[in-house]
Parts: sequence; structure tokens; C-alpha cells
Amino acid sequence: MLGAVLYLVFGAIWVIGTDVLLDLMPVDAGRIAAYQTGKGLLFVLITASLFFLALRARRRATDAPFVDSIDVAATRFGTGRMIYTVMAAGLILIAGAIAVLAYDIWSEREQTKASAERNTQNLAQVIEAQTLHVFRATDITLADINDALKLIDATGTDRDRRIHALLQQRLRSLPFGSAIFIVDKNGIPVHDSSALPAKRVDLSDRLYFTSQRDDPEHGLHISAPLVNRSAGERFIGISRAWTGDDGGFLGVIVAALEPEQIAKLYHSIDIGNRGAVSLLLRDGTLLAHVPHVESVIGTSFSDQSFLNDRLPRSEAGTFRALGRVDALRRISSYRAVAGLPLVVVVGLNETEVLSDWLHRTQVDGFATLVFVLSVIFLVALLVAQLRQRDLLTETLGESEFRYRHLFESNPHPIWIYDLKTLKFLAVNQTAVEDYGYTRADFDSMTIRDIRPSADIPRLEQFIRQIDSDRHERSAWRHRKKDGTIIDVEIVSLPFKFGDKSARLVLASDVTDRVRTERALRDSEERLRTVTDNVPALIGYVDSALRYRYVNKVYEEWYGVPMANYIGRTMQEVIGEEWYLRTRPQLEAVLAGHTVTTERRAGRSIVERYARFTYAPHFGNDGKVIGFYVMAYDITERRKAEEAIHELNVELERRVLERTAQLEAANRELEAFSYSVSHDLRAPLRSIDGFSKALLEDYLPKLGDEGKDFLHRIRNASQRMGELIDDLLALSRVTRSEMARVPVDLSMIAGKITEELRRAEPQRILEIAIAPGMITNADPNLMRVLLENLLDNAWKFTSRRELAKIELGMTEKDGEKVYFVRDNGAGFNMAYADKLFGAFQRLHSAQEFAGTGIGLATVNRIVLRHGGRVWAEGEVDVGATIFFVLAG
Amino acid sequence: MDQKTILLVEDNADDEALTLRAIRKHNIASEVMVARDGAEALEYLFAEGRYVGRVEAHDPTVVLLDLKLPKVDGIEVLRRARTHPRTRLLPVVVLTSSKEEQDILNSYSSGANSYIRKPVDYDKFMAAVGSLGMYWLLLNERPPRTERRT
Repeated sequence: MLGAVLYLVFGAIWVIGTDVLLDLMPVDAGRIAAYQTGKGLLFVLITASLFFLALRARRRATDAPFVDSIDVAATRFGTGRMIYTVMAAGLILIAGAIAVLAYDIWSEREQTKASAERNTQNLAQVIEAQTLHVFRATDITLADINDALKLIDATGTDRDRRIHALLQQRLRSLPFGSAIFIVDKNGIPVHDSSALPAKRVDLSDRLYFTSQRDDPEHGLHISAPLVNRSAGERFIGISRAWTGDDGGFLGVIVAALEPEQIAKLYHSIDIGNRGAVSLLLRDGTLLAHVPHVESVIGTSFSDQSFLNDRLPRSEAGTFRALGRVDALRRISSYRAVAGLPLVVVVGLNETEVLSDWLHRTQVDGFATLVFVLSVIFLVALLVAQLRQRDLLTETLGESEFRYRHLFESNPHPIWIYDLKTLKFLAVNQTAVEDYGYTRADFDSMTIRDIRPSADIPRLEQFIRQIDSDRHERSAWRHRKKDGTIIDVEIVSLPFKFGDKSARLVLASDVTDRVRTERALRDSEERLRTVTDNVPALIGYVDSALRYRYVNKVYEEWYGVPMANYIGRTMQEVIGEEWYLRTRPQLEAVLAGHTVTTERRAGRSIVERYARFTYAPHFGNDGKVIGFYVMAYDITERRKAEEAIHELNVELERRVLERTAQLEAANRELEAFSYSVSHDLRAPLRSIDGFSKALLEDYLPKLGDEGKDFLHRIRNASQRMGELIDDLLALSRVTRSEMARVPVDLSMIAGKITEELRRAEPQRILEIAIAPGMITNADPNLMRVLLENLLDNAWKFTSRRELAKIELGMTEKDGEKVYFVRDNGAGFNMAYADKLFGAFQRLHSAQEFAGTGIGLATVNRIVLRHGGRVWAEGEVDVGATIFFVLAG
Repeated sequence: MDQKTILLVEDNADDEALTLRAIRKHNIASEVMVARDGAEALEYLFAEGRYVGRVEAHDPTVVLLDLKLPKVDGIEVLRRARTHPRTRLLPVVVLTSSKEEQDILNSYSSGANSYIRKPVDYDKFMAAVGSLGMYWLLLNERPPRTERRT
């Protein structure tokens, strides 16, 4: 573009400049026409070739990426040659322009000089004619005076006066004459136009006198410049013989011409400011000179070569020489004045002559320079463009391969589509693989077909607005062949596909990213929803102590809008005082510790206590990059705690009271038990003892009935003793201190049954005790418990031929359930609830001995261990007592 | 051969009678001294108060000591006896109705040589007293009278 503009500008300058130049040149119309034609042809030629080159260069540049390798080689070859061609063409153009200019200048100069020569010749001719005229007029005047003198009476008294008048009258007809005077044959002036009478001086030595005296046929004599002997002025004397009627020599008539006046004769001739005109005698004596220089008048120019070499051969001629007077170079012409011993020389100053030419040359030169420069510029531009293309094409063979590789093997789907028809022009392998369409599919598809129909309007809008020179980056949804919709980001580049204007599209599947982003957004929203609805303060502060996240609770607690937190520092928001108070915690959390503190929430609208937790957030490098602030309101809890504290104090007081009461009661119970064991037994012992004594000492008096009564008394008292013992045992179970340690129930049961066997070795029993039953319980109580249960089993199976007693454990609902099972008398389940009460018996003492305390004791022991006990049974089948020990 | 004396410390008259009957029935000892409270028992043992001047020959071979006694209880009697040089090694059998562990423990730690619970069944009581007398009076070798040698 720039090149074209520059070309137009310089072209216009060149056209206009040369036209102006041609106008200025004083050449004929034919030559102008020839020039114009040549120039026009040249212009057309240059324009056409430049256009051709420019178009070629442009086409090559745009086609570059996808030309075939053969084309590449051709282009490469062409480019190198083209550069030389362009440079050569430029050089030829420049050389031609310079040659034309040089020729022009040279020929113009020659022409100018020739015309100046012709000019001087013409001028010389004119000056010769004028000079001739002047001198002829003078000759005629002198001849006329001679004739007139003959007519004047030689003796008349007024003769002198009349001659004087004659002379004056004749002088007036001589425009350059200063005087006319007549000298007699002795050389004495006798008449003078400027003096009456004439001053008598001797002029007999003057050449104008002697030449006439000595040669009667001499005719007109022109003297070298002389000095007037009477007046002292410089003059050129022109003399003629004064003859008498008989033709005898009377003297000479002389006309004095002033050289300066003669010079004035030539003033009317245009010789420029530095031209010169000289009037010389043939011997070289200068008579007059324009411009007039007094000192050179009368000097000899006889050393001038033209006088010596040329004049003898030719009456007229041209020469070039330095001016004798002023040393200026001139082009001069000389001419001998016909019939007179005079030579006129006209010289025009060479510089002056050439000044027009010089001026024209300068204009011409400038125009040419402009032309040359523009050619150089264009050539440089073209060469640069070609060079660049050359560089491009040099790597094209290799890069072509790379491009194809990049295109085909690119991990991203790439395709080219026609911007007009939207048809796919080319697709790469990844596009085929990713989208599922075959290449044949793509060939028949447009880019519309890979989009969900809902996106078509947007696509068409996009195509309409596309700027064909620019890259576009945009996000789209694409549809694969299987109907999957994916999110993509595309880069679309302008592309020339042959002569079609197309776009190259590079797509990247960002579905996952989009999903991730959406998930992130959703999760952020969820976070926001959750945190805003949690009745706790939740925030995030970065390591520069700037709030990054706060939930709504901040607003509720502190009355500061959420937006006012984000990006501001804690110091700004909570103020210097609270900042200093929380600083130890902030420092700790920034050092990587989780800090929890309960304190008043400073600056809260209402008085509020909160439990603050500061949890550090570690970056990937393990450094703390921020921390979470979490706080929940503990104002209510604090109040409740205070209330609880008060209650506790009250409760402790009451417990102490109750404990004291309980201890007192316990002490009473102790005393009671002691009394029971000690004092209730004593009377029984007495009853029994004295009954025995009666039986021993008074047997004969008692008789059988008395004996029986005493036996009954004794049985009753002994039974009561047993009852007391059992009650005491039951009481001890309740009162004794308890220590829970691991207890091996299997071992204890083994010992008990061993004792039972030893007591009644005749009984046939199957006793099965599950091994390794270890539980956490009080060992003494466990022994009492098992004693009672096994005693019972032993007792109630006493009527079985084969007694079976089993101690085992099952797990039920995660609890260990222990049981003692026997095949004894059993019981009716209707009375199952009565089994564990004190003194409750389901059998008579006659059937099975017992006090009815055993299972009550078992119940107590189990209860003391926080467990429970129950029984299952059937009359005459057996009974099972289950118990669970908590803990 | 020394006189075998039993000191029975018993506040209950019935028990006293029954015990004495049992001792008698077994023909255990020639002499049984009965103290009806702890204070009397100590006076007898240390030959003080009412028993000042009691001869050494009447030192008991064994003391049958009830625990629940008026004035000074059995444990206290035992403890004092064990601190006194005269009775330091004297065999003391606790004979009581109590079967409380606490009582048994206290008795032994206070220096009791034996602990026997009085059974309600008089036959068993008789047997117990008989065994007791047989053991402590006949089988057991009494400790030497240490205080005389020192």
C-alpha cells in the first residue's frame, strides 16, 4: 500500500516536473513531442512492471503456507532472479535517466554556446554596419567640407568665420564628433569648430596629417586615439586631404571622435551585463570599448591571436578568450569593417550565456534526482519484499512438512472451512477421532452441522461479524457424531485456501474445565448458602490480614455490610484496639497453629460471647497463606453454665447433707446388723441349749410328747438361726464395698462345684462349665452369686438320677448373658416374678430346704453390678437363671 | 502339774450356763473363772481391783472371750492383754455370736489365737466347746511364763 502511494506521488512529481522542464526549454515542438512520447512510454513501462512485480509478490506471500514443494522450488529460484532483475532494472532506469540528463545538459550547453556564437556574429555584423555607417558619414562630411571650402571666397574678410560656421554646422551632423578642424599644409590648424580663431599649434607630426600629405591617394585616415594638444582631450582623429580645385594638397580636414562617444554607439546593443564590444584598428589599437574603460583606450590588442591568425584569413570569425580588459571568459565574434582599417569584436560573457542553461539544468537535475530516488526507493522496497519472501520460502520445504505434521498430528482438532459456504475444506486426524465423523462425513458437512441447533443463530451472527483479517477467540458448544455436546474454545484464523477465503479453526475441548468451573461455582454457592445459614461466624483472612470471605453472620453481629469487609485489612475493620487484643491469636495462627479462644466478641452490636477458632490455611509450599475464622455464639451457653454452676453448688451442698444423713443411716444399719447377728442369736442359742439340756437331764419325765415338743423347739430355733445368717449375708451383699476387677467365673464355679461334689460324693451329676468366662466384677460378690445359683441347682436336682448342671454364656444384643441351667424341679413360670424376692419360696421346706434368701441375694448382687437377672423354667423339667452384668 | 484354769468372759447368763455345761460335760478343766464384763476380765488377768492378790497359779490357761461386752468390749480386753507382759502370750479364743468379717479381722489383728462362732445348734456348740477344751487345755503346750525369767 505504502509503496503504491509513494509510487503515485513520485510518479506525479516526475510527470509534472518534466513537463515544466520541457516548457522551460527553448526547444521546438517536434522535440517536445518526442520527449513526451518517450517519457510516457517509459512511465507506462515502469508502472506496468512495478504492478506486475507487486502482484506477483503478494500472491506468492499469501499462498506461501500451502504451495506444493515443486512450486516452492520454482518460487525460490524465481525470487533470487527477480531480486537481480529488479535491481538491474532499477540501475538501468537510473543510468538511463542520468544518461538522458547528461546528454541533455551537454547538448543544451553546446546549443547555447552555438547560439551565443551566432548571436555574437549577428551582433558583430550589426556593430560593423553601425561603425561603417558612422565612419562613412564622417568621411562624407569631411569630403563635403572639402567641397564646401572650395566655394568659400578665399579672400573674404569673413572667410574664417564662415568656415568656422561651416565646421560647426557639419559637426552637428556627426553624433560622435567632438570637433572638426582644418590643418594647413604646414601642419598648423587654421580652422577649428571649437575655436575661432583656431589655436595655432604644430600638428605636422600627426599621422593623420603626414599620411594625407605623403600620399595624396590615401583617402580616409583613422588615427589611433590621440590627446588634443590644445584642449588635452582624448580623441580619434579621422582625416581627409584638403585639396584645392586642382587637387593640390592644402592640408587635412580632421574630425575628432571621442572614444567614449563611439562606445555609446554600442549601448543600444544588448550584450548582457558582462558582454563587451571593442573597436580596434587593424593593427590592434583599441579605439573604443564597451563598457568604457578610459585607461585601456589606445592600448594595443595586437597580441590577440585572432588578430594575427584569423583576421588575415577571414574578415569575420568567432573565438573564445578571456577578456583583455576584465579577464572574463567570453564567446566573441570579430568582423573587419568593410573598406576601413577597423575591426569590431563582440563578446558575450560565457557565464551569462550559460546561466539560463544552468538554471534549466538544475531543474532538470532535480527532477531526475527525484526520479532516481523514487526508483531506488521502489527497488529497495521490492527487493526487501522479495528478500523476506525468499527467507520465507527458503524454509518452506521443511516448514511445509512441519506445517502438515502440525496440522495432522495436532492433539487439538483443527479444520479449515470456507467462509462463504461454511463447508469443511480440510480436517485433521484429531478432529476425525474426537468428533467421530469420518473425513467423508466432514466433506459433506458445514460447520453448522457440528453444533446444537439452538446455537445456529449465534453462529450465523458470528460469521456475519467476522473480520477476515483478524484472529478470533470464542467459546462454543459442539456436537459430536454420537450426539454428545462438548464445550470448546476455538481460535479462528484467517486463511487462504486456494482462492477461497477461509478460516482455520483450532478447537480445544474444555468440557471438563467448564464442568469444573460450574461445579466450583455451585460449590461456592453451596458454601455461601451453608455458611450464611449456619448460626456461626465464618470468614477467611489472607496472610496480609485482608478479609477474603465473610458470611452473613458478620453483618448480623457487627452491623457492618459484608461488602465492606472484602479486601480490607482487619486493622481497618475492627479498629486498632481490638486488633491489638486479637494480635497474639493472629500471630499464632499465622505461625501455623490452630487457636481457639472464648472471649467477648468486640464491637458486636449486642453484648456477645463467642468461641473463636482460628485455623491456618496452608499453601502448597507448606506456608500459611491465610486462616479461617470460625466463631459461634456462646452467650446462652455462658448463661446456662453460670446457672449450672449455681445449681452444682446447691447440689453439692445437698449431696453433702444427704451423704451425712446416709452415713448416719448406714451406721445405724451397721449397728442393727451387728445386733442382729449377735443379740438375736443368743436367745436362740439359749432356747436350743436349754431344750437340749432338758432332753438330756429330764428325759424320763418328759415322755414322748414332751420329747417331740422339745425337738420342734430346737428345730425352730435352729431354723431361725439360719434365717438370721442368710439375712445377714443379704445385708452384707448390700453393704459391702465393691471393687470391679477381672474375675474368672469359670474358675470360681469349678471350685464351688468341687466342694459340692465332695460334700455329696454319691450324687451322679453332669456339670458343664464353659471355660474362660472372665468378667469385670467384684470377686467376693461373684463367689456369693455363683454359690447361691449352683447351690440351688444342686439342691433342686437332688431327686434326679442324672442331674445336669450347666454354667454358660451367650451373647444377645451385644450383651454377655450368663446362665445356670439345671434339669431339676423347675418352677411354674406364673411365679417367675416371685423368685427373686426375699423369703419367697416356691417349694416347701419338706421338699427342698432353704430360706428363700438365695435368689434375693443373687438379685442384689446383679443389681449392684448394674445388671439384671431373670429366670425361665418348667415344673419337673428344669430352670435356667440368666444374669447380665453391666459394664 | 499346774492347775488348768479357763477364764470365760461372758455377759450373757444363758450362754455362761450353757458354756459351763458344755465344759463340764466334757470334763475339761478343774476350774472355770467367769468374768461378766471386760473390766472384770482385765482385773482378773492383771490381778487388780477385786482380784488383787490373786495367785499366779490361777492364771488362766486359755481365755474364752466374748466380743460384745459391757464396760470394756472384747477387742479392747484383748488389746490390753496383749500389751501387758503378764498376758502377752496368753492364748485367747474369741467365742462370739458374730460372724462379721470385721470382727474376725479385728480379733486376729488384736492378737486373738482363735476365733469360734457360737452355733445356735447346741449339739454343735457342745462339740465346739469340747474340741476347744481338748485342744487348748490338753494338746496345746502353753507358752512359758516369760515375765518371770525377765
